[in-house]
Parts: sequence; structure tokens; C-alpha cells
Amino acid sequence: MLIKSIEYKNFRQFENSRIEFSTDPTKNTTIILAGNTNGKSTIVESFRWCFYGELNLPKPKEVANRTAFNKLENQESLTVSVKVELTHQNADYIVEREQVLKNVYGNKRYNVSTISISKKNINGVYEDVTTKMDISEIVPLELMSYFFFTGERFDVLVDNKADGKRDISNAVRSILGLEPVEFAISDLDKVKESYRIKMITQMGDSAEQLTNSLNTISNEIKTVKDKINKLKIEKLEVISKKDDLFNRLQNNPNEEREKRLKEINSKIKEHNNIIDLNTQSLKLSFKKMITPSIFEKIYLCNKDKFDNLKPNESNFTGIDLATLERILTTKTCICGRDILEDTKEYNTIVEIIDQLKKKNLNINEDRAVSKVNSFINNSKNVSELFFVENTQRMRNLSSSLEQLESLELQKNDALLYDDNQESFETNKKLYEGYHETEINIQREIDDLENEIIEKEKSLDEINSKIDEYYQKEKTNNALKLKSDYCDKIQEELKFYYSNQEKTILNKLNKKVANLFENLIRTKHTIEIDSKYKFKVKDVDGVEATSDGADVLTAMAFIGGLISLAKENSETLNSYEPYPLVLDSPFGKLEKTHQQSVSRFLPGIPEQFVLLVSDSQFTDTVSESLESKIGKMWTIETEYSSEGDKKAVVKEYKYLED
Amino acid sequence: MFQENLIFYGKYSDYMENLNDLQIFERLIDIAFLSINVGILFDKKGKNESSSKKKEIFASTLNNESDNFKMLAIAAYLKNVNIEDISHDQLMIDLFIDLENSLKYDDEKRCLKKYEYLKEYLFGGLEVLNNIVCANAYDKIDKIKNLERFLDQIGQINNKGSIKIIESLLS
Repeated sequence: MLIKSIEYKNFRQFENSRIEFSTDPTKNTTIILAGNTNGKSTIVESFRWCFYGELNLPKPKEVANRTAFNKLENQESLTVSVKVELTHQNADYIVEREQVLKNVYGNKRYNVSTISISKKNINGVYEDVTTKMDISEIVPLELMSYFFFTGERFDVLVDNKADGKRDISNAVRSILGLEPVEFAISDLDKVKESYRIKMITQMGDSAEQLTNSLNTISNEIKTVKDKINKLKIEKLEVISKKDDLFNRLQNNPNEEREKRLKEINSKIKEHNNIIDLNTQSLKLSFKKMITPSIFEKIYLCNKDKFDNLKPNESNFTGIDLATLERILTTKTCICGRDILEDTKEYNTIVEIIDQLKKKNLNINEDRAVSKVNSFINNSKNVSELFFVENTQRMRNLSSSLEQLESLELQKNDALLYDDNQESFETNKKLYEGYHETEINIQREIDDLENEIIEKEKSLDEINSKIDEYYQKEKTNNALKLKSDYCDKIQEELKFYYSNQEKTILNKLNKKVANLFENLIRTKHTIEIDSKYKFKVKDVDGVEATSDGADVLTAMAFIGGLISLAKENSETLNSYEPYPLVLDSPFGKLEKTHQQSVSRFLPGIPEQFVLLVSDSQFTDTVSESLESKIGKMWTIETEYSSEGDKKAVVKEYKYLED
Repeated sequence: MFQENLIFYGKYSDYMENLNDLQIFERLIDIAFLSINVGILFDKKGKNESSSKKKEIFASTLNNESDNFKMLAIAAYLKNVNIEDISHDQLMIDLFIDLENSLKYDDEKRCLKKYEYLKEYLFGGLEVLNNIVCANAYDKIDKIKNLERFLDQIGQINNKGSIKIIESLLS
């Protein structure tokens, strides 16, 4: 899908406007210049309204232009519409959404909005195809959010905080179509709950008491978990204050501070290497040597028993095992003589039976005993070295971890350093204050988490008592089986879910990392963890956070998500061109980054629409984009005498100027 | 050999997690082996719990380590049996029935016994390890130091006598 134009009639602040977009592949960029509150977000969101009748803006139901409505007499109607002209799979389409509203004694009465889709036929005439096709065949709702980015959403992504991570997580889920799996998991909870209620109904009074305690404890756990969540938010706020303090200092470079940091970082690197080396060696040694090495000690402590393991080579042939077993059972020999227990004959038969069984079971005593002996000999060879080497490795490891802790403290001191002793002391006090608060909050969290562990133990106890009740009731047994079956299905679904998520996250990581490398001019790399949190690291592997890097990372994420969305969508053809409509991305970028980002952005999608304010459309941005700009528009705001906003859209002849 | 996953419930799941947090074990099964060895060495047994909290080692992982399990099961059995009370051939059957044959131990009564012991030692040893390494440790460094001291002590064991000295230290 490429967008050719969008046309508004009485839509929010756009009374009667039309914007055309560049579809030229060599100049694929359209710029829309508008000040803050001049309607940039409305333009981005108007596509969603046109295609799906949804609007993520304040007062989403208020789609009508206020000035136009105010002109209506009582009982008069007004039509609001957004019309998008587009091409999709080499055909031209017009998608239009209309909504009629009526003035009923000064109040707005909206009818339901309707969508119409028309396709240009071979004679060049548009034919109505609304009943034949669905808009999701052109752009699926769940993928809209990757092609149309408002400034607000972009900022959240840049901030790398909870909402941004949720945004990416939601994107990954919808790219994979994982929602049905999620619904299935939560529906199974409902099914299990219904079984539980049925079971309780059949269990009587004491079971009801147990269930009440179960509910009380569950509620208490919920309350404690809420408290923990609040504390975690408080902790995040303190951490963010700490980060702000460091960022503020980093923005004022200081030679001495840099020098100290460099020295400490190099020591940290050194200790990290020692830790890595010893950890890897320990892992390998434990993996290969634990059993043989400790087995020697087991042998030494049980030498008498192991040394007693000797093969016995007496053989009996021509005797049938079944016959002997029958003699023992009937206590009568084949000749008719009684064979009584604990007599010499009886014990001999038992011995022969054991030997025959051993033969039948294909046990080769010689080989078995020699296997055990060879395992013990091998143990003797490796054991001493195992203990000497690994205790030394652990000594090195703990010593380096201790050094690292002390270096982290020194690093904080270095980060807080200021030539002015007084400022240095103030920074330190501020930091120590935040740090102490953080530790106190963490302690509270730990205590509450322990409380939860205790409560969960009580829950387990009650559950096992309830289980006992279940066992008594046949019907309950059947319900319990069904409930367990639900558990198993849930487990499988969760396993599938996490595997799928992992695979897609790996793909996303690779794409984002590649895009990030193209974007950034320095030798920084990006790392994304399983919680969608990203870290930018410098050549030394040290975390290097800056607003600029965060914006670039968000750009790389968007690029990666678009590419993934197209790759994974069943509806979208991955060769079909798609637009990226992006609002105000340059706010936090330094000049050098503005340049690389502006050069890079038009290359992400086949069609690029940039909504930007005058202040963000700097010379650097404009020069970098110049060769790619196909169309450019300005939006200004005029106010009516009643104070209502009106957006005035004008084409800006960029190249001629 | 093993048809079911090995599952640690409740407190044993916590213990596995505590030890795994040290980040010096590549796999959970390495912690399990250390636990079995410690359990047999110090003759400490335990019983799995019933709880919703669990940690799991897949049967395929267990089967890849069957040689070590077979040897440890022999040691576990020898530790529990009085050799004089049992015939030589019976002992050989109980100890070696699965050594060369790929019998499913769950199907074989006699064989099952030694793996029952093995499981008990696994849980007992895990509890010992957790108590020594993690229970009173302030942080990861503390835990590593505790494990280092414990391994050092095991390394010095030469005979039954020396284990008694360490056992008294454990208590």
C-alpha cells in the first residue's frame, strides 16, 4: 500500500483539506511541517479512523469540526469524512469513511460511521468493492501501529521504560498472532475455576471453610503483590533520579572525571575477564568431573563394600528355571520328596535360581565389576586435581567479585566527580541519599516477597487438604482429572508461546542491531534483553546511555518491527511497498545524529511521511533529506471569532525555494 | 532409561534456584549430580515435596548422563545394603541389571530400589548443599566462599574417619 492522498471534510480541525503524498520511489519522502498542536497527531490518527473507525486521541468520539457544527441549525445534519486514495498490489483504491451528525437542540447526535472501498477498473472508473473485500486485506488493524507512529508513542519507545517495552512486546505478540494463545491460556483458567466451584459444591461444609481460607490467603497475597508493585515503581523513580544525576554530569564533560572513569573501566574489564574465565572453567569442570571426582571419596568411605564386588564363576547348565521355581512354590521335589524351607536343599535351589536368573538377565559379572573398578580408577586420577583447581577457581572468582563491588563504588565516585569540591560533595550526598532510599525500598520488597513465600506455603498446605477431599469423591476425581488436563494444556501453550516469542525476539535483535549499526557513527553496539529493555554499550562493553542513542535505538526498533511485520504477516506480501508515517522524532537528537537519522529514515520504508515542527526541521535535517523529498506541506492554525481551531493546509514548493 | 522428567518441588525447587544463582553451573543436572554425591557421601536422604513451585530436568538430559547415574545408583545401593544378608547372585542382579542392558528401570522392581535410594540421596544432598552454601549467606560472594570451603573439606576426605570430622562440622 502506498498512500497517494488524504482528504478531510469537517474532520476535527480540518474543515476542508487535502494532502498529497509522494509515491515516487526515488523521492519517497513527504514532509508535513506543523507547529505543536497544529494537528500532526490528528493526521497520523486520521488514517486509523478512516480504515478502522478508531481514534487514539483525546475525546475520540468528537470527530466533527466544531466551527462547521456551530453553523448548523436545529435538526440540520453534517457529514464528516476522511478519504484516502491509495495503490495496493498495482491497483488504485479509494477508501472513505463517513459519519453523519445532527444538531438536536444544540447537542451532537452521531450516526454509525460507514466505510466504502472503491477500486479502479480497467476502464479507469472506480467501482464499489466494499462488499467484496475487507480493508484488512490492504492493511490489517494489528499492523497499523507499525506504519503510523504518533510523537507521543515514539517518545515512550525512546524512554525505554515500561510503556515502551509493552509497546514492543505487544507488537511482537501481534506480529506472531499470539493473542489467541493468550486468550486460550486465560480461558482455561476460567474452565478450571468452574471445575473448582463444582468440586467445592460437592465437598460440604469443612471444604467450604478450607476454600474460604484459600480465598482469604489469595486476597492477602494479591494485596502484598500490589504493595510490591507500588514499591517497585517508587524504586524505579529513585533509580531514574540517580540516572538523571549521572546524565546531568555526563552532559558537562570533565577531563579528570573521564580519566578516572577510563582507569576504573579498564580495571572492571580486567576483573570481568577473570570472572568469565573462572566461571567458564568451573562450569566445564562441574559438567565433566563432578561425579568421577567425588565418587573417589564415596569409594574411600565405603571401600569394604566396593572391594567385596567380585565375580562368581560357578555355572549350572541343563536345569530349567521354571521347574526349580515350581519346586520352591510346591515345596516338593520332582521325585516327590518334601523340600522344606531353610533346609540345605531349599537354600541351594534358591542360590541356583538366582544364578540362572542372572544368566537369563544377561549380566556379565566380570564385565560389570571391571566397569565399576575402572570408574573408580578414573575417579582416583581426576579427583585430586578437581578439588585443587576448583577451590582455587572459586577463590579467584570471589576475590574478583569483591574487587568488582569495590570498583563499582569507585566508579560512582568517579561519575560524580566535579572539579569544584563543594559540588562534588553535594553530588555525592545526593547520590548516597538516592542509593540508601533504593536499598531501603529493596529491603521492604524482599520482606514482602518473603511474606508471599510464607503465604504460598499455607496455600499449598490448604490445597493439599482440598486434594484429599477430591480423592474421596468419585465425581470430584473426574473433575480433578479434567482440571489437571487443563493445567497440562496451559503448560504446553505457555511453552509454545515463550518459544515463539524467543525466536521472534532473536530475529528482532538481529534486525535492530544491524539497523542500529547503520545509524550510529561511533562504535557503539546495542543489546536487547528478554524483557525488551535495550542497552547501548561502548567499545569497552560499558553501558553508555544518552538521549540521542535512545532515539536511534527506537528508530532501529521501528525499522526492525516493520520488516518483521511484513515477513510474518499472512495478509501482507513482503514485496508490497508500505509507508512509515512518523511524527516528531528529532527532539532529543544531537546534530550529528540528526544527520545520520535523516539520511537513514527514508530507506526504512518504501514511502516515508515525516511530520515535523519548524524547530525540529533544522538545516541539518533538511539538507540530509533534500534529495529524497518529493512533496512538502505546511499546516498553520487559524482561530475563528469563537476561538475554534482551524487547520490551514498549504503545499510548500520546497525545491523551487 | 529415564522416561519421566526429574522434578524438584517446593523447597527443593528453591534450593535448586539458590544454587543456580551462583552462575557457576552450566546445567541444573550438574547441581543434581553434586547433590547426589554429597547425599551419598554424607548419607543424607530427603523426600520430594508436593507444591506448585517446581524446577525440572528433562528426561532426555537425564538419559544423556546415564553412565554417571548407573554408577551412583550402585554406590547408593551398596550404602544401603548389608552384603552379608544377601546372596552374591542376588547382589549382582540388584547392582548390575541395568549396567549393560537398556532396561527401563521403572519397570524393574529390583532396579527401582537403587534408583529410589538415588532419589532420596539427591534430595538429602541438595538440602545439605543449600544449608552449607546458601542458607546463611549474605550474597553471591558469600555463597561461593561457602561452596569453596565445602569442596576443600570434601577434597581432604581419605577414609570413613575423616568424613566423621566433616559431618561434625556440618551439624
